Amino acid sequence: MSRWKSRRNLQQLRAAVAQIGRRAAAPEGRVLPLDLVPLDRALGEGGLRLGVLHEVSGTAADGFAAVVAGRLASRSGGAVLWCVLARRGVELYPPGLAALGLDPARLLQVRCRDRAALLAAAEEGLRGGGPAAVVVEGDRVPDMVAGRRLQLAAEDGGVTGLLLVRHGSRRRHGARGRRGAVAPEGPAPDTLPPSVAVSRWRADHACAGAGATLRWRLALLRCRAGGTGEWEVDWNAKTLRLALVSPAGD
Amino acid sequence: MRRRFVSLWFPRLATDRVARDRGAAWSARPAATTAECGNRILLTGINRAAEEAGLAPGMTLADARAVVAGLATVPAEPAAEAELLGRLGRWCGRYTPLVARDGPDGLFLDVTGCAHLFGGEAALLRDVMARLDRLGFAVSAALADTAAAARAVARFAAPGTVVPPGSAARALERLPVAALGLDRESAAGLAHLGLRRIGDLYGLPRGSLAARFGRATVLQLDRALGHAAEPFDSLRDDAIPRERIAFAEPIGARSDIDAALGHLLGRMAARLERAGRGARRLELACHRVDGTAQMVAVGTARPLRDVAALARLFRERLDHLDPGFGIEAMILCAPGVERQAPAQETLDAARAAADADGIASLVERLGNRFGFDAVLRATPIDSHLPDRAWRLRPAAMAGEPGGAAAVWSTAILRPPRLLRRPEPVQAEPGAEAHDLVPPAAFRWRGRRHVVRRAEGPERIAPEWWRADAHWASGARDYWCVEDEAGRRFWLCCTGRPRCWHLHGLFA
Repeated sequence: MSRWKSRRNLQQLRAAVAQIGRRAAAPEGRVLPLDLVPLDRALGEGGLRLGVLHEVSGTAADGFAAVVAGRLASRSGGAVLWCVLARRGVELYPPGLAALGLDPARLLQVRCRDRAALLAAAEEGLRGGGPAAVVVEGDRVPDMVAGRRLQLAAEDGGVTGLLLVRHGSRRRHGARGRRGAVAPEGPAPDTLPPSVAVSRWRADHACAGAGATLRWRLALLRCRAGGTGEWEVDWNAKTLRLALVSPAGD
Repeated sequence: MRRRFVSLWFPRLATDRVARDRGAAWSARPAATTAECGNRILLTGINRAAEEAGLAPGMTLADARAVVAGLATVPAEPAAEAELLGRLGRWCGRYTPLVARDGPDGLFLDVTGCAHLFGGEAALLRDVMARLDRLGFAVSAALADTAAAARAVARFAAPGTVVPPGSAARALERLPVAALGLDRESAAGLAHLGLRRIGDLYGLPRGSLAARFGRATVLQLDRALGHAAEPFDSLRDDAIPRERIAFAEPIGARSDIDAALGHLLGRMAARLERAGRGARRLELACHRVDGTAQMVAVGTARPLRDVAALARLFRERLDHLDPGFGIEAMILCAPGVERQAPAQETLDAARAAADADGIASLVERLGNRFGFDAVLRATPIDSHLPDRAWRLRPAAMAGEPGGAAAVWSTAILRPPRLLRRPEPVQAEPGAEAHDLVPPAAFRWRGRRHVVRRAEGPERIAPEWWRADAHWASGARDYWCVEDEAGRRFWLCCTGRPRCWHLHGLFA
């Protein structure tokens, strides 16, 4: 009882703190539950907060972002805007995204020539309030000015933004010398470049799932309202669902 | 400024239209177009050969056959003739933007201030007649101060006459009263009194003329002489909707420009709504006091006539507008319009429509900023080949999302990213060495990846019913491999010659 009460106090405090900031705290229903209890609990508010920016890195970042965007789109019946940096010969593959739960019929791509155009397109998509989610791919974490701008746009439009980033620190930290080493360790959370994202995820491929499943190691590196954590999840392309893999199963 | 008008008369429009389809041989022989009138068949249009043989429009077909035994006839198509006249009118846009229809077989061109571009009025008239003659139309043209005077001269005096400014009365003097375009009764009545020429009417008391022959007779005379204005119903108006606003004082403030644009958009939206149309492209010309014009153009992803949405499209573009010392006039025109049915309001359709609107407006905002060919949507193609299974099309062109054809298979896991074409990789060991075994390492774009795990193969055979150069090497074995850093790749091994390619990325 007292525990419940203290949680309520905590929530009131959070609301009060958020009031001090620019916007009110996420109201009820303004979160996207991932339907995985430990993850939703770690996120603090019962799910990914909507209308803000989230950041995804790692080797399976595309896949996790597609899953989250697909959930957002099917939940609200909206579309997903994917801001694509015109890279050499590499394209989004709609059938692959379909298997990740992102219906290509709901997918709108905008192809941008450079990073400036990419951020401008993302801001346009976030601010207008048209799509359910905007996925922004870019190799770097947007700097604080650009990130803040995107964040304000997302708040204005009430659109959730997903930033796909690649933390370049692995090379700087001397991974070259550890070639062949097994763990695809990202940078430690405290060495992450600063970002405005409300939650920062790392999604890596774990050992291969069987058949129509993909197994990822998801790490919540930072979350403004919650904690951190690391889990293994399976994506099932047949049922289009995420499922938690219990550690004891190994 | 004294206005100047060209009247074009196509005396053989009906037969010229048919001759364009049937060639010179048809028009060499006497030919006519016919229409049923009561239970008689009358000639409506005749060609030159028939006219020389003594036929005239309005004869019955039986009479005409008695005169010319081998008369070729075609049923008249008034709608097609009207459409052809409209096309000729738009063609005349090369001389002036103001072109109007004159009955079923004529055009008016308001060439005020345009003639000097063609080397003078006589040269302009010669040019019009020569070009139309080359296109195969019999034409008679005249140029005068008023449309009615030009019409009278073109139809009743020598073709190609230029009536000098201010001398319309003298030019009309000797023409028959029928040249005023009077109805038959009035013309016959005037002739009965011995008033055969237009000059005969000049000195008559107008009151008694109007009392006897109707006000129309006096009005026609006044219009021909320039004493009364004649409405000029420009063709351009129904071709390209345009709205104009002029300011007593030049404006320069952004808020003023926005307000003026809102006003123009409101009028444009009302006009489009009356016509059942929506704009696909809008152009705003801001005419500045220094005599230059600034153009702003926006495109839309769907037929649109919603003022707020259109204003939003313009808002960003207006940032780059330089009003200079002020804008004295703004002209908004819609060069691209499409049919837009009035929206039906229903309860459950409202949300879907709002969603579709939101997406379309997003496509518009992005398209106007980054180009409509950069905003793409995928459509599925029924093929099991990974590189043929979809096609990207500009979202402004593709149909509605989730249409009947959109079927995406989710049964098989595929990488979320694909290379446009499989790129060869240097595999270690090479593909010849092992069959059905993934490489231990490979080098792609200058970086070496050691394979830690592999899953496969999945054999995909080409579609034998299609000749596809990219699949000429036969069936491929696809492998999903993971390198030491955890990155996943979609490798394939082609059949003949056997070599490894990278086709997709899982991140």
